[in-house]
Amino acid sequence: MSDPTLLVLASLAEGDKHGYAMMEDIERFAGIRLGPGTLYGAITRLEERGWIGPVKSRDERRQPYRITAAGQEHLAEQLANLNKVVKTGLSRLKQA
Amino acid sequence: MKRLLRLLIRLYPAWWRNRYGGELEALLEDSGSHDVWDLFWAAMEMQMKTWSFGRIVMVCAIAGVVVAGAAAFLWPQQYKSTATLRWDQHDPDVVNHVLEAALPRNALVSIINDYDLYPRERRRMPMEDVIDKVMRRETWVTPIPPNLAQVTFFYEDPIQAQRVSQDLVGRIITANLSTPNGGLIQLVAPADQGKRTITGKARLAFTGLGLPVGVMFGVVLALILRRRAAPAN
Repeated sequence: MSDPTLLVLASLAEGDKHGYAMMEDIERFAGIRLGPGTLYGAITRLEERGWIGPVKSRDERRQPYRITAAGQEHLAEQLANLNKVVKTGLSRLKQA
Repeated sequence: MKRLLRLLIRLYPAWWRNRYGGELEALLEDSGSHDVWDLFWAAMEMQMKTWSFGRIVMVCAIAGVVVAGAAAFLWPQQYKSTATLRWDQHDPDVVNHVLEAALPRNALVSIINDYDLYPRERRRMPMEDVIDKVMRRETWVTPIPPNLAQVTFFYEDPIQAQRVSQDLVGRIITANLSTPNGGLIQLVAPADQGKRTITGKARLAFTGLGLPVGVMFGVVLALILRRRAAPAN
């Protein structure tokens, strides 16, 4: 799971976060340090697709984002697919 | 570094900077990240988001020619000086014995010092490495059946290449004299003045290669960007 858009969605599934908070959170749960350009590339694509949106904030330079209902649906779908792959892989490893 | 990062943010398209520029600057301040390549590629990706397929391919093709051209014309010239020997010795073991006796490590060290070879390499690596990684690769002794051998030395200066090639020949002849069954060696052609190994045509050909490589890269890049831009479902 190294797709930055999926990592951002997974991070926002926990709650609203701004860029730096997402970066730290993703490093904690996935062990991947996203570069600033990669992170904002993912944020741009996710916002364009309507899967995340900005949340009103006093500090415009540290804009928090929130996952939308469509984003949650997409994330759930992707994680279910990943789960299927993980389960299949693990069961095949046991058989081997 | 801060100035460079600000400059990289300016590479993003204006619409993107207006929307996310401030946030990205804040993120750079908070994280202390200096990931220059990440910012550069992300900026290029944003620039290309609005470009057509053809434009991406065309820009990559031009970039391919420019990069290949720069590499081709900046690549340092090497000169090759060759001497030819008649050597009536067909036993490879004896030939190898003569070459080992003629060109031991201390002989190569003295050649390097006498002709002041590889000054740049000697500044950054020990003499052992200069001999093994540079000089031995640029010194060739090639047997040409039935009874000829060519001694070739490559160097960045044609006169030096010729002098060293001639010196190598002298050492081989001397070592052969003191080797039992060394066979008769005669100098057929003395070391010539170093000839260019990279011609203008080769440089142009390499530059031309940049075009198809750039086009291929552009097509792949345009397809990747198109795929990334399309909704996942």
